[in-house]
Amino acid sequence: MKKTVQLMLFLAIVSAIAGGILGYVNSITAPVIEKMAIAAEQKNLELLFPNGEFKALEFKDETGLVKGVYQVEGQGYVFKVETVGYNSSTPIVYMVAFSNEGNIIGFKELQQQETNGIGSRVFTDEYSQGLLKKTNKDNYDTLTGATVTSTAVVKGLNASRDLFNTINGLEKVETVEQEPKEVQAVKVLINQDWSVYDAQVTVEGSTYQVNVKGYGLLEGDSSHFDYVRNEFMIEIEDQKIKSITLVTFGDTPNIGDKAVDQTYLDQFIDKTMDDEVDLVTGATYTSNSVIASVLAALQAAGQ
Amino acid sequence: MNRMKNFTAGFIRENPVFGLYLGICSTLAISTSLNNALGMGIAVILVLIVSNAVISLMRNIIPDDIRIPVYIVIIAAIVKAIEMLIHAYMPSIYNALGVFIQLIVVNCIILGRAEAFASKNNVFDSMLDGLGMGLGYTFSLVMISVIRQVLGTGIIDLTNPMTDQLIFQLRIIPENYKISMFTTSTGAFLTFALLAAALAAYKNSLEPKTKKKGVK
Repeated sequence: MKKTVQLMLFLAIVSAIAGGILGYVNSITAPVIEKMAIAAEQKNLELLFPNGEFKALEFKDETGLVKGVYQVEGQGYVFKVETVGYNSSTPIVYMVAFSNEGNIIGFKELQQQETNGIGSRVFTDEYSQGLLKKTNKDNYDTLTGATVTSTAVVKGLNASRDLFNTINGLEKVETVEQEPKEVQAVKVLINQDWSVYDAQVTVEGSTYQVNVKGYGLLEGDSSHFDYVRNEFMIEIEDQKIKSITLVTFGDTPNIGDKAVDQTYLDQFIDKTMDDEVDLVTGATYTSNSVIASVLAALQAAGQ
Repeated sequence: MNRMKNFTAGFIRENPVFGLYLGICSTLAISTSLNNALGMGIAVILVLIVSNAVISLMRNIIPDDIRIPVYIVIIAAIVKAIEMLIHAYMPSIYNALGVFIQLIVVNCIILGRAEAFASKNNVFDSMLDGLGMGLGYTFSLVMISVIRQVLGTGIIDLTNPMTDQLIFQLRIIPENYKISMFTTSTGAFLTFALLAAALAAYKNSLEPKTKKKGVK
């Protein structure tokens, strides 16, 4: 009996000493580890708050979507979210920032490979502009045609909002599923200065052959694609567009080509210089090049 | 001279991985690149030296009945402490090795040396034994890793674990001719088996001829 107690005591002392040593090492390494956790995100955090002072916060997120919470000294909070959208092999990673008052003041994608032109619309200005009007008391919109991606993003936003409210001791907001919303089409006036697109017109009777710089030649990285000028055949009658067809497409496949689709081009029929037309979200440059061509043809016809 | 013999034992004669078949699990799992091998090797060397030293120091006061639990508590504490240090100062190694650093606790090499050597020898010899065995383990890991990395990816590289700076990078096999099987566990088993067989053959060839005749 006495021996058993002795043995137990010995083991207990060894364990206590080991525990003490571990506590000491932990007190040295914990601050370094914490500092490093921020250092890894510093670059991303600075996209939202340049020159901010960041501090990583401990948090508990039931959804598991929120991967990091950072307090920005005197400005607000940043939540890093990882969520799976339509592309199951590459999760969506983004950061959303709340001001101390609870307004959403930043939304930044860090990684996403959602379908180009469909899910990727969630990461364009059209979506984030709407989001930046929201607060910690709102529910967030999903997008028609990009339901899976936007729902995944909204789940993370809801989790971030709930955490923000928990951290600040505010009332929990009930999550209500929102009807998907259409992104509002952006209207553009035909008659404006498109000179950067450098539209060149060749006239043949009432048809105007226009070639124009698109995304590729203005902004594109030519190491991936062989970018050339876009070329359109435009017919004009009475100062109005009678028809417009694509001759050569020189921009990025699967992105720019949404803006040279015949259904998009047909909206120009019967338009004059002073009309407004839709812009294709996510293919702004290419649709601008179409509008620039139309304007150039109309101007040539007016001379 | 005897010390030298003890120290070098870990390389060929009693190589923990190829000779004693200890610590195979983590060896197979992490031997995908030279960086991982060196990181794991350094961690194991540190744990071995410190645990051998502590256990040797305490060899006269540890009651025989509970020596194994005491060893385990000591080893676990050392491993955890070293894991925290690696996490703090070599984050890239920590991320690459993940759970295998914690698993050093149950790596048979450590407990094996504590029981077989440190509990019977003085502190200096025990630390030397730890260093020798650790280097032997690292040497085996590096061999497997280099073979797997070169055949599997065609590249051999080394980065500084403290700063993440690339020290050197060399493409040995062109991209189109790499054998990616070697980056998987199949490649690990294959490489391990061949190297272990080679070492066994070498050890056989060292044995005196007369002894072999005697066996016949």
